[in-house]
Amino acid sequence: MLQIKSLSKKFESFTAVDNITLSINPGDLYGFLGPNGAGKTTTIKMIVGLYAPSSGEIIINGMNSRTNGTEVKMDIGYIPDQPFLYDKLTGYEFLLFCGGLYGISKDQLKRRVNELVDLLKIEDWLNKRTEEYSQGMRQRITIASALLHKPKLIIVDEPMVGLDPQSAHVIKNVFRDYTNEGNAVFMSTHSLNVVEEICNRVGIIKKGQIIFDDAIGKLHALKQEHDRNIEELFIQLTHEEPL
Amino acid sequence: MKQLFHILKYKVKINSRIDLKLSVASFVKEFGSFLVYAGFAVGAFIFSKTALHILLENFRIGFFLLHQFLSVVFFIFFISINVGNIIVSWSTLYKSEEVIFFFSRPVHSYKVFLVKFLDNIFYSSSTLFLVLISVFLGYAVYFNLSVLQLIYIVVFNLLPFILTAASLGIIILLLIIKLASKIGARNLILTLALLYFGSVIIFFKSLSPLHLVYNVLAYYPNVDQYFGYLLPGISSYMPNQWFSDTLYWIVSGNFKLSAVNSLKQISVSIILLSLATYLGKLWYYETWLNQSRLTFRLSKKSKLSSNHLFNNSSRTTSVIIKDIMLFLRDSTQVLHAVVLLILLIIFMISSSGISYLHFEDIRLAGTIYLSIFAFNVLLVSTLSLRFIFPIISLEGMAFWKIKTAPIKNNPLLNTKLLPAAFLIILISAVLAFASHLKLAPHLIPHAVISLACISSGLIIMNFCMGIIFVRYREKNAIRIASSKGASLTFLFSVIYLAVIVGILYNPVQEHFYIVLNSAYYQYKYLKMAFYSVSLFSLLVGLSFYVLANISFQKDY
Repeated sequence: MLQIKSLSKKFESFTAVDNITLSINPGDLYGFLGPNGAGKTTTIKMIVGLYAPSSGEIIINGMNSRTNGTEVKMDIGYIPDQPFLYDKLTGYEFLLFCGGLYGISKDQLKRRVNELVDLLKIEDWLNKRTEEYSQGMRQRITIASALLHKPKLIIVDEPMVGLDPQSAHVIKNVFRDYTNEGNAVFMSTHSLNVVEEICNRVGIIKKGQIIFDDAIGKLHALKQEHDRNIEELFIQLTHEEPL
Repeated sequence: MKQLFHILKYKVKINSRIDLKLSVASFVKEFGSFLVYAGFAVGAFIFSKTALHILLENFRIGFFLLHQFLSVVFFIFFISINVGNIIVSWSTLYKSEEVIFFFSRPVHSYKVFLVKFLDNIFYSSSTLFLVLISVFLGYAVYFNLSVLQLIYIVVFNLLPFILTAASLGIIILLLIIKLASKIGARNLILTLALLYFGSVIIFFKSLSPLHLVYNVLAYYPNVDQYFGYLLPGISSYMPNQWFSDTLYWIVSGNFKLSAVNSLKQISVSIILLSLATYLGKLWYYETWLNQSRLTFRLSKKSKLSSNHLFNNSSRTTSVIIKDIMLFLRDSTQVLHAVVLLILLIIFMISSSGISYLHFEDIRLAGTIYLSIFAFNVLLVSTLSLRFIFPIISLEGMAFWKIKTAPIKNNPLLNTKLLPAAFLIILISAVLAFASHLKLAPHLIPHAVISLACISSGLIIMNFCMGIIFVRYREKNAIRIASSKGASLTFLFSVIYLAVIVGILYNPVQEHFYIVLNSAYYQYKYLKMAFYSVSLFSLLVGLSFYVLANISFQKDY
């Protein structure tokens, strides 16, 4: 589904992402962990075409993201950490607008919006302008907009920031169900418990390099081996001192 | 194409929506805005008709000189759109969050480019369109033109003219960004700015408006005929000349020659728009990606050098240092400040050479003096609108930090306002000094004081309106300065300017009449007028300051 080959990103003399290689298969819910400034968002921005890689390749569904930018984006649903919404549109209008960008027919779009409204529990807010939304509602609408065209791969950057437990619960279920249908989710997050709860694979990035990339079971085994919880293990792996 | 129209449809929907909150205050605000816009449109219409009447029937300059005067106005207009579009496009095409949104979706870069390009023109220029259409309506009524002829002027001449200026601006911007990675941004921008302004000055020198006036008036009273041979050769390649020639031939009843000029205008606009779109398709996405590298580099460098400034700072100094640092790190702010500074210097150099002793016609001396004085006020108004109006909005979603800090509202407002206000007042004093140097050296002290007071009024008006129409979500200073609130503020500034000119008109005319007739410097009435204007400005400033304080207390 997603193959990243020897990917690097340099900003002048600073290397934000350093020669990383990983692959994600259909059905994977991949948790991408790392301390602040480790290179998570830079990696994501390269995958969705917002940064050009300095070297390396990103292959999505067999297509190179550099040479088939627009086609590749048809297969991706991107959920950024700071969602962009048009303040003067209602949530419903925003979803119709996004659907139009993917060329979804009107009837199909309306059906799909109704499905997502139920799934993400957004019906009460749908006809209000997005300028009135809380962080959680903004996030839910953004997620709905990313799922509209039924992408095979969802790229998520920090999905749980500022969410109440109810919203977090809804979103976790959505991602789990989505991967159960044979799609894949690539999720960058700081929430270790979320990774533990829903991901089947984990990658840890530190100073631009992948230092762990395996099944969640392997992380559990490491936990038991070192008799530590996931937080302590993460700190040990990334050599970050607890405050 | 379907996707492009889909995006444009939603853009129109978004931009045409009014504020959500329906309250008495918002109704008054909306209705007040409507009244100001309507009043201004009527004012522009009357001004246009009156100006034509004065020029053609009082001064009897004839059709040709009138349209050459319009050609110069169109040239300034062209430069303003062109330079404005370079700066606005830098910010909207390369700094906007909406672009990030589009580039993460399957939208081809040339469509994003076109959408943002049209957005720039129509979002920032709605007030300009309103004024221009009113002005052309006045023109059409004065010359008894039909509705079809008016539509022809607007659709087939004005719109292509604006598109040409804007397309050229965006082509220059793309070239700058494309070449910057190879040559270095600073050197390239400096070289291009010098070349650009150099060619503008050379054009004005080659046109030599004063000589043209003397040469044409030598044929008086046969001054309605076409004196094209008196114009420099380069004029025939200029869109402003095609536009003014179109108008000249329409009022002279020669539709064929008018159509030839319109055809040139339309063809060039299509060519330049196609070229801009082609270059956008070729380079936009690539330059957008490169630009993020440039931003990263600049921010890394500047982080290293500023930390010590905040050590041991008082509350107010911290706010001032923060404002200065943010200003210097925002390339659009710096770029626009530099461009406006260059324009100010050009204006100062040009106006410092004009002497009242040059004018044989006494009425002309007073009129020219007032025009230059009014232009000074207009420049101060532009600076205030661009740099003072957005001050509070630019605090953005981080304003909570200052709002929750132990700083009272009043000192905070003063801290935000005073440094920028001081700079603009200083510029206004230099402007008044330079423009009076030869024009009327005996009036320098009064003019400097008066312009400083007028500037204070304008600055506080802009500051206050920026608080009333605050937009914390908008991070882009240029978009804040072209928002609806900003347009309204500009209209207020023009009304303010009209009142000032109204107060000064008779005393100035009388003063120059006496000075040029008897070489006797009579100041009494003029001094009274200057100080009335100063008092009026300070009162306006005070009223807006009180209003700003009240408005600042509203919910964040």
